[in-house]
Amino acid sequence: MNERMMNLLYRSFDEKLPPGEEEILSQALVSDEALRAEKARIEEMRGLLRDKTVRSFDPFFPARVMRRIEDMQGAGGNFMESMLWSFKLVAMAAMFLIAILVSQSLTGQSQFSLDSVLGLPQPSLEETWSLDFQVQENTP
Amino acid sequence: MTEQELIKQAKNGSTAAFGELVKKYEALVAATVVGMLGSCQSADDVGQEVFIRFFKYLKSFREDASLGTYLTRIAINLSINELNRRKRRRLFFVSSDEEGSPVPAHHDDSVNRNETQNLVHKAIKKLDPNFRAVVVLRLIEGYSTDETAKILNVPLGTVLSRLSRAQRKLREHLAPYMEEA
Repeated sequence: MNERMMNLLYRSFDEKLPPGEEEILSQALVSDEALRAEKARIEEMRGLLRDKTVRSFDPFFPARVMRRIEDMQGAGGNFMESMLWSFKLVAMAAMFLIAILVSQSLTGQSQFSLDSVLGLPQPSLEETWSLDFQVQENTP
Repeated sequence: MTEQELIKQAKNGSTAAFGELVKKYEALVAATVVGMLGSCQSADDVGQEVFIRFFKYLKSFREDASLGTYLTRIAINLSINELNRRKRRRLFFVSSDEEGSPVPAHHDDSVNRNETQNLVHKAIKKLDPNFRAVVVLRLIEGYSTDETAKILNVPLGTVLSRLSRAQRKLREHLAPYMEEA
């Protein structure tokens, strides 16, 4: 039983051998008892692999998968809900803060303007005059 | 109900239909994952992960490949990832995993089905992951060599040469059992 025959024998289980090689292997199988025995062992081994393989997980596998999926869906839903709730809280807090700032800015202001709402300082008459005077001085 | 109907219902959000698909394909995924990893807790975890991945990407499953092939591909990829993780873990820790433990040289007459399964799985575990994958797909799942090549995304010649080498190694590992049997 030489190496070439062994190669042909193993290949013959999984591919269609070219006619020449198939013929050589057939003749060798007729004349070589060891090769026939090897073929029988390979067949037995393939049978063992096919038939003696575990084909199930531990009991209640589908239930475990479905529970994980339900947990996943639940976790996803809760996450979205908690995000939504957080954003609502942040938005409400921001609105409340803005209302306080606006009311504080308007307190003590004699007129209602954008500047007063935003809390920007309003220049006095003297400041306006002095600014005008500086501009006139710097003009050639 | 046909498989197509189950997939359609599952896509529409029916968990009951998805559960039916899990029951239907448990054996196929188990054969792949247990073949690749052996019968252990991580095999069960990987098996669950296969179906969870399928559930997550259910909407994008186009049904141009059969569901069995699709799940087998996920199972093989996740199993190879798990084997790589184990390999990395072994670099740092002494593993208690039974991987690489020798196949007993003899067996007594009372050897039962479970023991035979263990012998087969131990022999498979001695193979490199790439060799294991072709053995699992071709010899355990019964895919054709063409299908095996497509699932693993390797040329047909590679599958054939890996099969030949893997069988020789398996033959060596299982020889003591087969000769006595």
